[in-house]
Amino acid sequence: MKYKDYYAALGVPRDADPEAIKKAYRKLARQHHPDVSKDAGAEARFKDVAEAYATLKDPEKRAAYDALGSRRGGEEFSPPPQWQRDFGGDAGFGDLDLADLLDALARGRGGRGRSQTVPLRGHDYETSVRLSLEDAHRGTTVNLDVQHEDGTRTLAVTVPAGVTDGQRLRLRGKGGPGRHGGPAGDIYLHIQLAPHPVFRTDGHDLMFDLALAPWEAALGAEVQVPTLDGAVLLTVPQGSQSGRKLRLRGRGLANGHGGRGDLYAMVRIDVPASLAPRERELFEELARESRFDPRATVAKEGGHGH
Amino acid sequence: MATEATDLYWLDPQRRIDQAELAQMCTLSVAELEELVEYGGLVPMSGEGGAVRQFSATCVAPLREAVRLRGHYDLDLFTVSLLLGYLQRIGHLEHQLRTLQAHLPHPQHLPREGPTPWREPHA
Repeated sequence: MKYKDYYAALGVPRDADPEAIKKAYRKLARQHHPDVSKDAGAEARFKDVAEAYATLKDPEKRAAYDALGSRRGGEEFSPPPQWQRDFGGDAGFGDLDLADLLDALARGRGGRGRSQTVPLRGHDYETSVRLSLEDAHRGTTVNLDVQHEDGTRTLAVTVPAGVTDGQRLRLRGKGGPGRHGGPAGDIYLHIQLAPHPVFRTDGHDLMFDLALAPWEAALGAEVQVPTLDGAVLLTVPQGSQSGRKLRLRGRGLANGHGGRGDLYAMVRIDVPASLAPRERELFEELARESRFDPRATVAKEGGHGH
Repeated sequence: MATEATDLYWLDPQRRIDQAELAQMCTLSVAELEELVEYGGLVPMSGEGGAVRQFSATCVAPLREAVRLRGHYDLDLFTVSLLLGYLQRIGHLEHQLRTLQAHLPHPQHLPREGPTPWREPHA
């Protein structure tokens, strides 16, 4: 069995008090936590310090560990005969890790027997799946690779129609298998919707930008717009302002209860970047004739004291 | 290996979860869960006056995350209750942000895929 220098892992002396050990652990855990550090070896380093802390914070485990004496990290050693009697029995330590052995010892002298009879719940797994808008609308089946003791198994999960971005799903009893008669764990699935080139989602409602020419917005128009079911003709009312939302009822995402959200066309008025001579002529004529002042309200409000 | 429809549980605001089940889902004891309620980190939806306490299923994800961090940083339950409050707040704000972003106009760098007016980029 390989010796692990838990004190060195936490950077504390062997006589460090529990408070100093906790402080050193928290500092290192914060530094190497996979949520924080992007270093390639961060996760392994975090596991090392967590393993060291799990032993040193527990007085009984720490005492057992200290009884091994001071050695070099990685040095091969044989656990004391007493440990052999308490834990290993005739089977010996086999491929046991030092941390596992200390765990077993800390569960009590006789912990070996207890650990074999107490039902243990299987591990839970958390994972996220990214679905296309179309799959969320119609429902789909996703394949999840789940780690089991006997290897990786693929679980086909039927995701019903009507899921929305950010929703969470629990797959009861589909996680790791329980031990000694304990129940299996669960899988927690986080649903994410992949960005769509046209539509954005708000729950079961869909939004998209509808670009209109100034004359379409002013005069009204019938324009083809996209929906999940194909293009449809939308009547744009005359005088449609930029930012106006035109609703197509029941053209959004399926809600899973037989209904659908709505689809909103968000008006954005575009102007030509360059004008042909005749277009310029017409715009100039419009500018001369029109009495419309888009800044009239602003001018009135800002007129005081200026 | 396939899932049955009955295996699926949506963790939605409409779904309520009993205290014992929530404790099991989040690898806490019922006593620890009660302590989180006392600290105000967790608010039951019902169950006052002797009835079984129930919680919104939306608290499962932040509570599991808070319990995960509790293990990683050796946090006490009071800190977990504070953390839970902040995780719930972050979740709420993220949801609001997603909603607001959906209502903002798309950035003007969509690939040109035809003459359809809703994809016509500025020149």
